[in-house]
Amino acid sequence: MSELPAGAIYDRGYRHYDGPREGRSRRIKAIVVAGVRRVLGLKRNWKTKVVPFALIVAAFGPVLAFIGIRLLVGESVGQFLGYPEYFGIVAVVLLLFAATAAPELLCPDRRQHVLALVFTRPVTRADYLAAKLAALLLVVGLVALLPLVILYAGNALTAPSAATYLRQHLGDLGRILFAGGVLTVFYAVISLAVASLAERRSLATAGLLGSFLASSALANILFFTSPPTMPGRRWLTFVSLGGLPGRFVDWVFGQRFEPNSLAGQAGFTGPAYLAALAVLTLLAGSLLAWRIARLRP
Amino acid sequence: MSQTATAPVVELRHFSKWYGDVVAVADLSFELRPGVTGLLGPNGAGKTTTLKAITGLLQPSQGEVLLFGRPLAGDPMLYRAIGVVPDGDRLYPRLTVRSYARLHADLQGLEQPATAADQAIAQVGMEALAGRRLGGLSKGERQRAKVAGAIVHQPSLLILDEPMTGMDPGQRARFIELVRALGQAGVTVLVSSHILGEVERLASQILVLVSGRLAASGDFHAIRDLMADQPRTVVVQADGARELAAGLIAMPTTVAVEVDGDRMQARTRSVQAFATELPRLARAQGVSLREVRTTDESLEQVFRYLVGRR
Repeated sequence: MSELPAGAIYDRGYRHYDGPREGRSRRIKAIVVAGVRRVLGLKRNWKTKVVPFALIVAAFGPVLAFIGIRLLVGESVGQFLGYPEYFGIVAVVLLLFAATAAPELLCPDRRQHVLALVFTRPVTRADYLAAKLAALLLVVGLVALLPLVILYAGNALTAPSAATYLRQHLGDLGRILFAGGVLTVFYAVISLAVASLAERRSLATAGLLGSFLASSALANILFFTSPPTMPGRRWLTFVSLGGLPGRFVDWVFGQRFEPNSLAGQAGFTGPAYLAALAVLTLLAGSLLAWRIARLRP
Repeated sequence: MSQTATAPVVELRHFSKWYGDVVAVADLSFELRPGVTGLLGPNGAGKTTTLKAITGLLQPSQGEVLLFGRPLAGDPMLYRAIGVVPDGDRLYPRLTVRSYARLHADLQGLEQPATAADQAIAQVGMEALAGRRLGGLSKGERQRAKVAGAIVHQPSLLILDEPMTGMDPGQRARFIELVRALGQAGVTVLVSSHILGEVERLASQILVLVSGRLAASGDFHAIRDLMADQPRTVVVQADGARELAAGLIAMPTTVAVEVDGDRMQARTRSVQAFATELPRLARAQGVSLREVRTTDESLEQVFRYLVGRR
């Protein structure tokens, strides 16, 4: 085998592709597009569209209904649906959306053994991770931000003076984008990290929802059953994964914590909840990167 | 992919891979150059481990794997020159053949991915199935779709792990034709397969792995010639076969001779000595030879010998 053949005539009709090649962004875009299609069930049968579109309807439905009522009835309806309240609805939808979308992005690649196909192309682990994360950020961001932006636009357009509304509530738009952006990143990274641990989508979904619900229940039970003098008791508020986004949103929109609630009694301010979200996101991001680096095609 | 005139396309230098106490491949060294090479070996011989090392899907425990003279690790751009068809059903079942090939064209960053995808689909003869979902295709059709995804960027090196699994005879024939054409066009093709008859039709160069070690490499006819301890069977059709047999049995290299009418079957340790002596005897006895051929020149025979002597 080490000897060169004595002679060989090659048909030069075949040539290796030496033409222009697009860069890294093209490879990432290809995986992002495939991921978004997969999550939303696009170009697939109707059954795969039921869950994502039901959640999208749940996120957009109330805001569209509210704007419709305001258009019909006018300003007298008032603002019964405030931004922090709407974030409360969206946070539930976001959790459900991320819990179903993230496993859809990661688990089938392992379950259907296609990683060998991906990683024998010019795609690095970092490209793969960036693409999956970008796909999830796009769809989660759609649910986290767009309904609130529509609500804001609806409030402005149905106000007696749109210009006055925009001038007086410009800060709300900033708060919507900030809160929506933080929640998008938080839910996307956490859900992908959990999905990276399971090969089955159902296990990943159940794992994420279970950890949010169980941690909240556990934090409340431990907090309210332990003696008030117990050292470190107030830190139990950070154990409640499901409660952190709500406390953060309340702080962004200047809402006071319910005095009898876990957050109200724990005594931490809003920035502490933002820091908790950041730390959790960093930890989950590190876990995700570690899992992707160790994936065996 | 640019390469020097002397650099082999693939080079393994003392490649070893072990998992805990289990040695999958030990001290494997070989080179691949343009043309089709068959990778053979019984189950567990280390074929897939070797292919995974060449395609960068696992790191050697020891030794080096070079592609185009460079290590693949840390250089993902080398994948622009490589096409890989892994074993097993590794596909997104809900993608159509066209969207699957298009995805790979996008991952390769081709300038006209749609055109490249259609060309690759045509190369594997799947134009009529281009709009069908992969999950709805037969196993053989899915294999061809995988090949389309692997050749969409016209690679210089094509790695095929058990590519003919599930293909019907017609599909196999077309596939063999395609791979041979690629090999003749200067592509370096490495095909792993259990189906020896088809590897024989695909590749004259072979690598045989047995128990994680290289048992033989090169042209299988040359390997057969090296199997000196294995007598070879020569069938002779002649008018005076019995008289010829009497002369041939006197040769020290002849192991046995069997005569049935005008047909003689001899087993010899030296085909060369046999080929020299047979015409001389025929001339001396006035016997006319109608046919002389060896019957155990098959790859399967070579393979069975190599596997059996471990």
